[in-house]
Amino acid sequence: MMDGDLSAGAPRGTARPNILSRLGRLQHYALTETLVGYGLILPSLLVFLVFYYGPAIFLLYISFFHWNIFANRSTFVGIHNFLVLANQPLFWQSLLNTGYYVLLVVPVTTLLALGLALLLREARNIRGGGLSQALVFLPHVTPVVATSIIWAWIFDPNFGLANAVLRWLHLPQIGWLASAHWALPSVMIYTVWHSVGLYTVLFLAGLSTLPKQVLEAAQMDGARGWLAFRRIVLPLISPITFFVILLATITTMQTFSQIYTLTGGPHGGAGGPAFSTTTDSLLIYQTAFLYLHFSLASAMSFVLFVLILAVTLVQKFIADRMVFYR
Amino acid sequence: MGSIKLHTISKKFGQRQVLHDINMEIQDGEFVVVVGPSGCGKSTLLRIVAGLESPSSGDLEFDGRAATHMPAHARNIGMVFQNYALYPHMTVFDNLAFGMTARKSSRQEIQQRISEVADLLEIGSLLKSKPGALSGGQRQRVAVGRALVRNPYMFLMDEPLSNLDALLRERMRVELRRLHDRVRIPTLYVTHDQTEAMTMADRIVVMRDGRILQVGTPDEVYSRPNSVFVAQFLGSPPMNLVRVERRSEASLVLEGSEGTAFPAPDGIRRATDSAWWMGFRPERIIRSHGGASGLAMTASIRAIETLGSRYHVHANWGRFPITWVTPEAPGLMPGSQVALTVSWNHVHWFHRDTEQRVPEDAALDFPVEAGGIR
Amino acid sequence: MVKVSKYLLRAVAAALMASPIYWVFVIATGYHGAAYALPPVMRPLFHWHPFLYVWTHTHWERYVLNSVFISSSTIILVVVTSAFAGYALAELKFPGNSAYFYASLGVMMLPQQALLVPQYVVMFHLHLLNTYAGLILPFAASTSGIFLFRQFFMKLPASYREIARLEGVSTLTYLRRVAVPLARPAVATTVLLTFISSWNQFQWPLIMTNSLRLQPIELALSHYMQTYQSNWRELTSAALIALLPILVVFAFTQRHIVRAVAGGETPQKE
Repeated sequence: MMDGDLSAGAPRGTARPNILSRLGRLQHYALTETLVGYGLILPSLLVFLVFYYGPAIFLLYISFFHWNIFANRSTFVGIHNFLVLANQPLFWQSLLNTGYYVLLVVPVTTLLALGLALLLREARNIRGGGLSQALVFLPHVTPVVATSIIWAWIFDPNFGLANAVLRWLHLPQIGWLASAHWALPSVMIYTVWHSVGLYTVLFLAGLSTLPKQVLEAAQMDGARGWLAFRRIVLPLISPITFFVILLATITTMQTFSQIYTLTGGPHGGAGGPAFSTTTDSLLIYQTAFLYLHFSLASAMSFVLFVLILAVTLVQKFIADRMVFYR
Repeated sequence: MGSIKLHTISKKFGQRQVLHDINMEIQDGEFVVVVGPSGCGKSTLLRIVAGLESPSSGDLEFDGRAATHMPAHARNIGMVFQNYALYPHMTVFDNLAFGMTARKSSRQEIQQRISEVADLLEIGSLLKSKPGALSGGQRQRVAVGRALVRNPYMFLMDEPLSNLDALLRERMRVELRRLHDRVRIPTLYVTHDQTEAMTMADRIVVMRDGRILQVGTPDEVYSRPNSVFVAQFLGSPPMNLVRVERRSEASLVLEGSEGTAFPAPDGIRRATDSAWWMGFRPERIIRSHGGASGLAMTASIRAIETLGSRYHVHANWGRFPITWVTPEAPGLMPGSQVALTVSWNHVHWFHRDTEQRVPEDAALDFPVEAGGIR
Repeated sequence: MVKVSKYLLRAVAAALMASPIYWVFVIATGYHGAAYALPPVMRPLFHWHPFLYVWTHTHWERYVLNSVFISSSTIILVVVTSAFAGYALAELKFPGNSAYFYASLGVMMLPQQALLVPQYVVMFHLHLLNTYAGLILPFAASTSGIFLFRQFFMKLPASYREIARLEGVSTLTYLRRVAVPLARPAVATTVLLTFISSWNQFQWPLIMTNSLRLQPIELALSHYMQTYQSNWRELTSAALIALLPILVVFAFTQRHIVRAVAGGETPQKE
């Protein structure tokens, strides 16, 4: 039996290439099935179009206009918005801050997640193992504002846990969120804490697909184990590593909530001190919704969009050379 | 109740044509089995009758009315799938009632119909169970019950027994046929198993490569196969087939073995062909003790299978392997020679090039019968 | 030896990751001024009256109800739209089927932060600013939900649907009575993931609403944080309000959630 072809959906067209016959192909789809299909995708399609694809296309348009959303007036200004943007030192600073943030958070998170995944790998079968895996993952599902509150306390220069630990280790005290030097690293620590569980779980999923012997070879201690890990395990999990790095990069390039809450507390407006934590997302938010410079914010959004696209493509390009797909 | 007619039904999936101009008819109360090897198009044919696929060309007629474009649910068809397609999260009762509730039948009507069907199929005690708790045979019966509940115009069954073990399959064959004899709903039954076809059908339709090769009662198709393929496909063990060539007007020779010439029957003497497929059923072979008329051969025995009620003797005649089914095999053993005979009435002739049956009047001297293709 | 040290290391890692949440309890249910103790307090006292005080002196119930309403509406809509689209993509053949599959995957690729400005404009023109609908509708469809349901429906035998077709059962009835009940794991996963992301929603309501009446718990918390700077016991008590539901849900479903995240968000390579 041609069981593979028996579902109502076996491909039914003819393969002739010209357009007329392609139109004729539509007749091969059952009409009711087509209508029902469109009816069923319509609700989600509307959401995606109106709230995501529509705005994405709209962004292209508004970046090149000077406009006022409330008056609904707009004039074409070409790249004017981008020129204004280029003359804003704060814009360049925000890009630098974002770059600094991404370049530290992504490698640290990825390495930490890989380490945790290796540590927790066979934990499911051990007493309390499931609990440790759950606890590592737990921060990722917690609400950012709620957990930022406790981290704001941890980073409190006088009574916080962080400085208490430093004191205990006989290390110098740090101003954490109050210090222009340490504010962004503080946010980084929060971000690593909040997201590493997700990447750990992704790595665990990747590791679970490996043949058992491969991991046992790498389990041996000492040089041979390390060699086996580097030469066998790492290449085998490179697809998942690539996915983790890509996801982490794209996510951290857009960090907003923890910066807004952690730096907007007792130490002045968000992004401080001295704009040391003003990243691209925060600047877009402030420009658009605090200062109502929508044209400028659109131009920034456009830049961010292109940057993220570029990062994705570059990483894909590198991955095509390095990632080993089975 | 009524008949189902198919006129020149063809079906293409992309470039691949899976059905070629199928013509057939299922009469009221008839049990028709479509049999053929995997990929012959028999399931597609069934699905076209069900309305799950539409034909690329050709027409379908139910009870004299055009049905080609009738939607599946309007055809009032009860279908039994190979995997039974029982919904695992519903009880047997809910499975049986599902179609009727969806069509907003009254509660009382549903109850009554289901209890009738449950009585008929003896599944009354299972109504509250879920399919997962049933045995293969019980699931099979529930699936039949679901098809029956709606009092269908016809039954379509797609390999309904192939998920059962051999013993159960044999029992269900009898049960299904007995059910058919009671309700007399026209049934189109698709299988690759020739035993099911032979034992259950009023009429058999043999298909290969999207074409109907032969239609007929099991007896007709068995005793007068119209092609080499049908001859070998039906019957177990299958028909012995050997290639023969004409040596002279009156004698034939087994291909590749010059020494064993044998006289040709009259019809063959008159024919213009010079080479044939010659076939004979394993159970038509008898041991010759000299003097018997018919096809005579000397075969060397390779192996003997004992089945209790009979023996399957595997032997070589010339370079052709043949099988002989015999109730007794005294003194036979592998390596020995045995003289065998088949009456000329039981020898089938097929053209070597077309593999079609040589009509009886041309081949032999007994009365002609219009067997074969309708 | 290796086994023991690994065991210890695992315990330390888990404890470190969980410790900030532990300290929410320490500060919130500790004695007055516990947050300022040196060295820091290590043990929660589970005094709940400060928590109850915080609960009663702000309209938290309003904000919690907002969050509950927004989350549950979003969940229902997401399950419905995902089941619909997942079913269409898995079982129905229509021109554009695979195009829509990729289009729905593509939504995940759009950088959310870059879309906020045009999204705000769209919301403005649709009169959705400062409405519940504006907090719900944009999240009423989910790529991962569609993907999950599609995967699940593809595993159902084709004969299930064909029997329904022969019996004249409508697509909606088939979905409601057969396909969705059989896809319970997909429903559970979608509900859980949607609940977590919806309950934790912060930036969207921050931008799209300015009315206190509408604000969900996380937004209310952020405002509270700005008002009660450094009043750690009040702040952590309030944080508990947002945190507890997540903790409870997670405690009962963590295995499921972890598996869903591991399986549901891994890219399908071939």
